[in-house]
Amino acid sequence: MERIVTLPPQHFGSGMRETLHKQLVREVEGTCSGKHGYIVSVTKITDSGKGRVQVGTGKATFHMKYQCVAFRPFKGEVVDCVVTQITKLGFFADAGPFAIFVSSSLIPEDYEFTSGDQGPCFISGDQDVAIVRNCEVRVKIVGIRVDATEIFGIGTIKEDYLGVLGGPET
Amino acid sequence: MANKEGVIDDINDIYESKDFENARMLFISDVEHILNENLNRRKEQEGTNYEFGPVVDKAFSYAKRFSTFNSTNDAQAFREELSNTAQYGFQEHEITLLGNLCPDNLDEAVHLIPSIKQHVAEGVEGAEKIDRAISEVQKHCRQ
Repeated sequence: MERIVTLPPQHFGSGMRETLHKQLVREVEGTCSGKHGYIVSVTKITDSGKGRVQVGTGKATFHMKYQCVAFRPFKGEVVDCVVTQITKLGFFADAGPFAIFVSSSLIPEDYEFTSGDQGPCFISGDQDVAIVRNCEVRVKIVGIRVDATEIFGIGTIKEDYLGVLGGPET
Repeated sequence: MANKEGVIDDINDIYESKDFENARMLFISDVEHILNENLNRRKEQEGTNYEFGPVVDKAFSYAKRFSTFNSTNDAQAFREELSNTAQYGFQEHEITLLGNLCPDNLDEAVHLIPSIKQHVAEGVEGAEKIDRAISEVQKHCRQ
């Protein structure tokens, strides 16, 4: 990937490349785009560029090329995630920085919402399986919405081999 | 298939997209390893109080929780084995999803990774290929 990074003149001189690297990491890590998803880690700078001084400001711009780790979900993909919030309308789950909502209409019909001492949860008809906060769930992404700063998904567990994987992490 | 903003929706389309031309798909275990190394290096450079930002921290926690391989050597061996085109012919995303989702059997693999159906359509040879891949999953991944 590529990005233009601007450096003020006090950083020119020795250690400039290191400062450039840190600046790139600060600007890019944790951001999200619809095309590439969440940038989670800058792994390598392949080209720092030569630097061009801007007339008037004295700052220099560098056309940097770098490699990174990006988290990018796709429609139809199955992901494992952690339940964060449960309401009678469905539950929210996180696959890392990516949030997914599973509507109650996309939860198997035998599951029932209940709100007891342990907090809100969905319990299966045979009482064997419960979707509780912090449990692990395998979800299929059926839709994705992208805006300026985040990607949000709609998921289903109403198919074979989807649903609860494990209980809450202790 | 790309939506009207040109953003790709379907994982099968990334092979023809310029946006992902030089991209490689990583196992969750690979991401855990990379972020762990990053964190250690930055703590050495910037002090032991260094912490990831919230988005990266979420990704790191996720990678630690859902990492599937016993070690980085296992992940590498698994990828090398399944990248053998003559023996398997899997696409990169199929290898990655097999390693991340660890299906127990052919039926589960086909349900979780729909594009694998085309290998099953090859007949007995295709089904045996997927069974061998699943054996590799059981050999290298935590159960």
